[in-house]
Amino acid sequence: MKRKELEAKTKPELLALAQRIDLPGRSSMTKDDLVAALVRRRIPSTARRSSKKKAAAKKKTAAKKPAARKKTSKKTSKKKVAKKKAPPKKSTTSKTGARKKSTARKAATRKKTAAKKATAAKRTTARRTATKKKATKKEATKKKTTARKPAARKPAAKKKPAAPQRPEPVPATPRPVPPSAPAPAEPQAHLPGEYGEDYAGLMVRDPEWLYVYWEVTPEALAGARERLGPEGERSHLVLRILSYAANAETSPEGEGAERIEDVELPEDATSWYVQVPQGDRLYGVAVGLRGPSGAFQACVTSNVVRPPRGDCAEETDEEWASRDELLARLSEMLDGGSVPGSSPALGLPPYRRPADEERSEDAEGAGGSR
Amino acid sequence: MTGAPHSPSGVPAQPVGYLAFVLHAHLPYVRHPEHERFLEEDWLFEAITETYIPLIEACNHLLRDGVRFGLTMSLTPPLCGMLTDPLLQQRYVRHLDRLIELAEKEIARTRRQPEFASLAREYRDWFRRARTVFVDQYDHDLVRAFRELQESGSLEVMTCGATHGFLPLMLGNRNLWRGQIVTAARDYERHFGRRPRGIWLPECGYEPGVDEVLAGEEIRFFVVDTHGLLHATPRPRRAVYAPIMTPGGVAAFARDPESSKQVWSAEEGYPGDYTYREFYRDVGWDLDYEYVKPYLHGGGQRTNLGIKYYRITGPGDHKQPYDFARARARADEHAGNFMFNRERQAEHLRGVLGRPPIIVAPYDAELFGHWWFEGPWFLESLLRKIACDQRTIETVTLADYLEREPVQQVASPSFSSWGYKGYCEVWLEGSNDWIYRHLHRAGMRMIELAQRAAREGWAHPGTAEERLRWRALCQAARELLLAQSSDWAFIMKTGTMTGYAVARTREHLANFLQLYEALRSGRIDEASLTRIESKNNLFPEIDPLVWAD
Repeated sequence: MKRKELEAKTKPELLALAQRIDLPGRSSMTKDDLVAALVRRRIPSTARRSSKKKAAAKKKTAAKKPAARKKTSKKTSKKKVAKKKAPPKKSTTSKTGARKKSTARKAATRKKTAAKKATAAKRTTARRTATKKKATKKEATKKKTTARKPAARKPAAKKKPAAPQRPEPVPATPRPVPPSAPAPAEPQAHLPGEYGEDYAGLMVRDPEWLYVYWEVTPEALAGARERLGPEGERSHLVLRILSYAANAETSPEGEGAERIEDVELPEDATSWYVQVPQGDRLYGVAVGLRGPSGAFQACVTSNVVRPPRGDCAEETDEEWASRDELLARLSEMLDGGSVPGSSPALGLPPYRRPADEERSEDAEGAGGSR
Repeated sequence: MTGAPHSPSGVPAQPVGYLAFVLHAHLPYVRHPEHERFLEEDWLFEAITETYIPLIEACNHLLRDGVRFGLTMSLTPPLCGMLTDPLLQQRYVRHLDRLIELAEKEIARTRRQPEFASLAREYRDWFRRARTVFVDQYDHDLVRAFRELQESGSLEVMTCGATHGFLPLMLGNRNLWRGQIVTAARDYERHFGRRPRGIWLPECGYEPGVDEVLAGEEIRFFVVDTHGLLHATPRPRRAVYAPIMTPGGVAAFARDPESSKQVWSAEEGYPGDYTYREFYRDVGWDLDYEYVKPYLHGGGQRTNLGIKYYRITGPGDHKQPYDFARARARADEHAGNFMFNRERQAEHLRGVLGRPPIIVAPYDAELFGHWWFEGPWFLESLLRKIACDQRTIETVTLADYLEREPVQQVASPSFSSWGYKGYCEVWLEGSNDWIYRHLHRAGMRMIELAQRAAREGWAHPGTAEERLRWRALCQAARELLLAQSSDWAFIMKTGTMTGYAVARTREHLANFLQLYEALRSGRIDEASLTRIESKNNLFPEIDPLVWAD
């Protein structure tokens, strides 16, 4: 690509090109530095990429597509299933800038969903039953939610109002409705796909569910493989969910660490939603390799979290004897879904009209109070 | 004023119960000097006209009439930043002038339809009044208005997280919490001339340990959602009708579900009353495109313009013209109904608890006026009625309540938020979970930079190069805070205006990472730094070393 062509590009586009050839130090470069460095590296134009390279890129992408939802094969009645989370998809094919990258991500997500559905259909009967049960539960929750939520509507700036049914004091010309108001076109800022570090972040979503994301460098993987010895070559990437006794040493091998379950991961997974058996306990996760014998070597360990109990405390205070009947009544109100949350300035109005029912059905679970 | 235990009209020294009305005023920081007009800046302009000025006016009317009341309100740092920003102030006046011009045109257009012409005149007068309050009374500075109300003793202004960052999703990291809380407390001091006594935790998001950071800033109280107190350990003696003292030494109040329901409920809530103004019928959508085009944004997309001629009327699409006087009378009735219900509630709770309960009723401020047009009338009427028409309940600010009832049970509130389902699901789900990896990486890098800056004395630059380095570090802190705003994750979840929320998240994170690399390498591009400083100019006195401690 010639210098002039490069100079005509925006900085995010240049960064995308730099990322493509893995140009070191690119994130700290000015636009001029980037142009100079790209000229030196003689980066080819996207249009002139050889078909061989395209095929290779395609192959790479295909390999990166996540496998459909996987879960642990072993499960006790007490242990709950860890659910596969759709990992944030990195666009590996994008070459012309962040905008394209964003589109690619959307497309990838659609493909991924389709792939998930397809694979889900192939699962064993037992598995399907489990999924069905889960779906039923989800539906039940949704019903409960419907009763509990305040109006779920989109901000008016985005919506065409309903057509009037009687003569209006305004011209009855057809209303050209432009596409929903977008932000002025700005090039999307570049974010790194990987940071080149080993880390795992564990977060509490609610009393039952945690979310973990991680990055494992090839060096850490190789190290774990080596520590596994001869089993290393036949090992799998595993997410180990751990529960810790209070005041225990919070490492996978630490005393007081109890393994809740191992989730076998698709190779390209970088995040997961984890269901835990109960709240008010300490949990951590480790991402590592597990050999055929069950031997495990951690690559990275997360922080430790304590999800809430999600219920009234057993513990009472003698000096301050609680009015349990009041607590019970309030709990009932909350469980009955009669207490809507807030409606933020940017969100949803506090009332709903029957005309909105259809729209709010769609918004259910995606809108509601914040 | 509200600290006094009784009024001259003979209200008993200790009422049967207290009502603490709490309004949370927040908008994300939206300021785009690079564009002549920017659609999302209208969020602020609409809220100023429909919510903030009407609320200020309501309070001023009560003070003028010598009505005693207690009201607690949070004004978040981004909101204070925007309300005091000269560019946005000037743009708001321009926005109002356009509305006044449109209202004048409407008066002419509807001259043969008296019911609409009178409405058009009401709107013109209403916009003109807003202009007088904004320009003449407060010299473009509405923070000053709230500061003066606070100084009157009737309003207690709380702070919030610096950019409304949702604390329970920050890996329990105290340095990140400090970044949000300490920056906010200092910004509050700059605007209000004293330290904040209370804080509205962003999204009511609480995780044990946050209280210790609040205590470090001498913040005395915060608010959690109902289950935050209901599920406290040990069990709270007075349920949600008295605050508890956290192990860190900060009082935690909780939302009363009954009063919330009366306003929020889709079925029974007041705002859906058929007399009230229909939000979704706006001239920006209803009138001929060419006619309204000059008032729309550059792209020509139809949008709300703020003149709405109809009332909700009923469940269908048939709408009747709005009637200001009738709606105002209805708001008055609703205020009477709300007061009556609180009186009965207070009497019942007093019987159960043996002490005066406090009923905490928090709402988003923008509900009052923006979504529920009649909300400020309702509030003014409610506060007036409570002061004048009964003796059972008394309105109180949260700070005043603690003065009157200083002994609290010690208990630890539960991890909670006021979001859908009560925890983190709104801000952590398929549409937005991708942001946390980046936010946390940026957060850790910020801590690393701040600790290095503290060790190496960056805060006292001598040379031009050192000054540039300090500026870059300050801007990095601003970018991190702006990326942490919970609004972006929320918008991604709701699926409206998602593109803007994603772009803002990416922009601030990318700016941060660029500055981080520049600081690490020692190669700071001053032109680029100056550009983002002038664009993302929140917190002029930011202290990056807050992240180091």
